[in-house]
Amino acid sequence: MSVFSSPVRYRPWLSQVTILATILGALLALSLKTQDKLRELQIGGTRPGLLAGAYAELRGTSEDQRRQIAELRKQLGKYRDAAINDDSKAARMVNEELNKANLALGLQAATGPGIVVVLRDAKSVPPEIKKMPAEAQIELIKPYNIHDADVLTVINELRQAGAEAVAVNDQRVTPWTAIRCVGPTVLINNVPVAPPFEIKAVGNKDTMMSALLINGGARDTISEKDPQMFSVDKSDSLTLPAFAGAAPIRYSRSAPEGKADAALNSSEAQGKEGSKTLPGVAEAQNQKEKGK
Amino acid sequence: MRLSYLVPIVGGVAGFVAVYVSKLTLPDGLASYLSLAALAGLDSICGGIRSGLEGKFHDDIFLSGFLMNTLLAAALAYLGDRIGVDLFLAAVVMLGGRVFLNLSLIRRFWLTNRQLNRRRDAPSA
Repeated sequence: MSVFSSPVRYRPWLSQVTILATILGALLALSLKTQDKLRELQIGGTRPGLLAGAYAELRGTSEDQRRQIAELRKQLGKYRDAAINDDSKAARMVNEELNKANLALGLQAATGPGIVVVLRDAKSVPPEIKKMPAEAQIELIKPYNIHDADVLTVINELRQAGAEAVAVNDQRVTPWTAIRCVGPTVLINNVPVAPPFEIKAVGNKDTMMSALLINGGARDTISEKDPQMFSVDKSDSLTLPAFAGAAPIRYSRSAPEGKADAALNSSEAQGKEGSKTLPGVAEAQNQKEKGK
Repeated sequence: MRLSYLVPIVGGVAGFVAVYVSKLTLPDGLASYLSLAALAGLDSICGGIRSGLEGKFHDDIFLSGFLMNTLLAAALAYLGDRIGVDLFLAAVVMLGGRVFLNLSLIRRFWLTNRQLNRRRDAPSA
């Protein structure tokens, strides 16, 4: 009889192994549960489907509310026109001023000649980049995609060339509009917008065109990797929608006459804490004269 | 006799179910160490079964091996994390290799045993 074939009898080791195997099972279960919990945390929620549903619903309501705002604003305009119907010249002038201000702020739909810039991601990324490890890819892939910075560059260029109204994918760009990347989309007026980005600008077509197409300008930097990432077209009649909301004025108040003058005078000594009034108009005028 | 070998497996399943059903969980930071401890435990159990089958089982070695291996594996991995050396991988490779070795030896034993039994049962000439 060999060492291997021990006689069939009560084996004390089996009971010990059983006890420890029970502990091992417990350990395995605990480890499995902990790992499962970790995996769940990485997804960011236990029920992605439910979250997606809630998101779609909220998006629907927000869309509805936007439409409601537009409707109400139209009504407000009608009431205003009716109120001014008394044919007093002063009232009509005030109304005209108001319309102009609203137009400049983006609170009113704008129409006029201009250009349409389309930014889209590159069609393909070179295979040698795709083969690289994910971490190295992130940096190299960047120039093949359109980012918030590219949209901002174009808007900046357009404004410098005298654009009066700008909208990105039908989101009007207002003085308080923020444009930033959130994941694969870009938030404009807190509305997620995905590429391709269609930037419409009302203004002098030729000036804006040449400002964008200048050597080393916006087109050259954005479409460095793929010429189709940047395209631009002139248009004789563009219509930009109004900003769907109200101007968020909560902290600022119109400064009284005296204070405004003081701010204007102290603009040479910048950075002073004394006056918080912005000499905005004068500054803008300067900018315009400097540009081109 | 065959069935008695299944008892450790039944024990393992019982322990697994008991903890899995319970509300017991560990902090997330300990997850990887716990996994390593479980692997070390698996190694010890396999080693125990092997030595038992070979008739070389010593309860003191088995018990201390189980406890020390699980604790040491987790402690070493923790130390590795602290000093920036991936001892976790070293432990995984070692323990994984030993589990495979033990399992193959158990299989070998079982096959040899079966052959011996068959030869014994056969009518002798």
